[in-house]
Amino acid sequence: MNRDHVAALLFGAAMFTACGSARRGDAVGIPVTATGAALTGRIVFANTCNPCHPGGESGLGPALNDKPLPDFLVRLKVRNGLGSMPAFPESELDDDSLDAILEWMSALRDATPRSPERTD
Amino acid sequence: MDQARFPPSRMLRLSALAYSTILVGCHGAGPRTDPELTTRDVDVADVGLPEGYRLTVVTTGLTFPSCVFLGEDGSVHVVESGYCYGEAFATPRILRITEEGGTEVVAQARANADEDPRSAQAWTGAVQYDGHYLVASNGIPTRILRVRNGGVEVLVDGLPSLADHHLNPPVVGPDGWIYFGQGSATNAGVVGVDNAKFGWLERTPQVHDVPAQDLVSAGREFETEDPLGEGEDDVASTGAYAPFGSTNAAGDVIVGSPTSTGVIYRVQPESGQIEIHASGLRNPFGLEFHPDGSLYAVENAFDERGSRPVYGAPDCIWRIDAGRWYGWPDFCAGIPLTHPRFDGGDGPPGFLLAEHPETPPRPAALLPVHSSGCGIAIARNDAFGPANHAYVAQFGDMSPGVGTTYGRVGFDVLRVDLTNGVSERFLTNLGDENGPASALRTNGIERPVDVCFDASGNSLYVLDFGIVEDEGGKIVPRPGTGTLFEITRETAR
Repeated sequence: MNRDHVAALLFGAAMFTACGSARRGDAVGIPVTATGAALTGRIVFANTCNPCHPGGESGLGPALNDKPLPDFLVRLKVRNGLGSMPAFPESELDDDSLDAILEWMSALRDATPRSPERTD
Repeated sequence: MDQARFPPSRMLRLSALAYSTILVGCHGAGPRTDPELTTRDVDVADVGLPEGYRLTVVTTGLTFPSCVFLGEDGSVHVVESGYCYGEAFATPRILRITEEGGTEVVAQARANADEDPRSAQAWTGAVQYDGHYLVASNGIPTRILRVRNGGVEVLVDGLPSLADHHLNPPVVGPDGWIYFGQGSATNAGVVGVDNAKFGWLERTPQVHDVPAQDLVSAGREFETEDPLGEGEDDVASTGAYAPFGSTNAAGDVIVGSPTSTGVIYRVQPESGQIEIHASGLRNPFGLEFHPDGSLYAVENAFDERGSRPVYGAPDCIWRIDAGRWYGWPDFCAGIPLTHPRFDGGDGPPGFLLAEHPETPPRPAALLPVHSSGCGIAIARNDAFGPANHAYVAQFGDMSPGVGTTYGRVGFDVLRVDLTNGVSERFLTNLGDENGPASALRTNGIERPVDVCFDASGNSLYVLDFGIVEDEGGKIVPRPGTGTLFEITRETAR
């Protein structure tokens, strides 16, 4: 793959990840049932990812909870950064913590949103 | 295209360009309401809460409210500030909320006038102590007032709240002193064109930040256009903690002051003795004491604006220790501004100071970038929800003026576990998108600015500032659209 292809891939990834905020997370309360590593991942996510992707939704960065990206692509993006997203090297986020984040992101994507429901 | 013409950095720029191009279409800004609007319909059915909680409207029609607090008898009070960014003026006053949801004026200043902004006051918050209201009164000068039965006494005078951020709502400490957050004058330590945009620079051309302790400058200078100059092409160089157009050299000592910006003060309510409790904060808006006696502060972090824009700075909740320095203007949430995560395209902001008083700690919790975390309330028992969790009012982003985002951020109340930093949305508008009700075309919440538990801890008051829009870079608030809500737990434990 030459650099043109890499550029095209990155451009495509940018297109793919942008404007994905239509999928809103659960509106209120504890949004996802999670156990084990996902629970650890929730804490790591809160202190690493949540500022830019609040609750997995779009914020400063694009939404994560509507991206069925395979884990290896998420790892690649986290370790190398992309566009305005900074890289998170192992010195800042170890492999176990990244694994836990992936568990939590999976739980986020699998959760059923309640938000559109009106109560009246 | 050959590879030599397409280096990796160029690829990253292309990706960034793709993001930014798309972004423009993702989160537009512009007027959404009738410019003459001064009322607002509210329907709690448009607002979501966790199961088992109920939302009611206590009172509507508030103008620029910024603080809800309990009087000494447990009655609910609201402070209408009398001012909003966008140079909108009204009358600062304190309202007591009656049991029927009516309002009774218990204290007020004279009405602010559009034509004389230098004499305007903004009452950002108050507490009641020993029968007096102690009021954060912002203006030229900024003061702490003691108000009772129409009589006004100046308790503390000459505080340096003259620009971007205010002397914020106070809280009574377990030691009987009153704690106030004082925001910084600037976004990131350098007076710039953004300060002219808000009107501060014309009003007080010598305005600048003042540190709490002596600091050593790194000697950096920032060249900008000169809004105070007479020529269109005039430029000015400005340094850290210096008035617009003034600089300092590397190694120069920036002299600290007992009345400084970016700090938390504590004030003795009878004598007016004032001390700096903590420093190195940008805008510590919400203060609250935990039941264990420790102080927590919600800090509004850097914006991507002005001479020293900072990209991707999360708001946060600090546990405040007396005497500590929390990093502003060279750290955000304990992370140095040399880190590439704060690079908005021109490199990380870097340091303004040659030396730092200490390495700042890490916060108790991070909040979303540009969410504008404001008031905080900490549960004192488990009657309302998990004890020791904090509830934080998030005013919501002011994009694009503070930086662009992919989606609207804030406009809700978060519940935050202070032991691990995990936050969850607690009160928000229903629907497929996040945002203020006026943007979503619903009758839900607009911009939560403060929260306060009732005396029993069974219910939480949420103060909604009302409609504030960004019309092409101009902030346009709507008077009379503020609302006070109450959240009760239907199945009290």
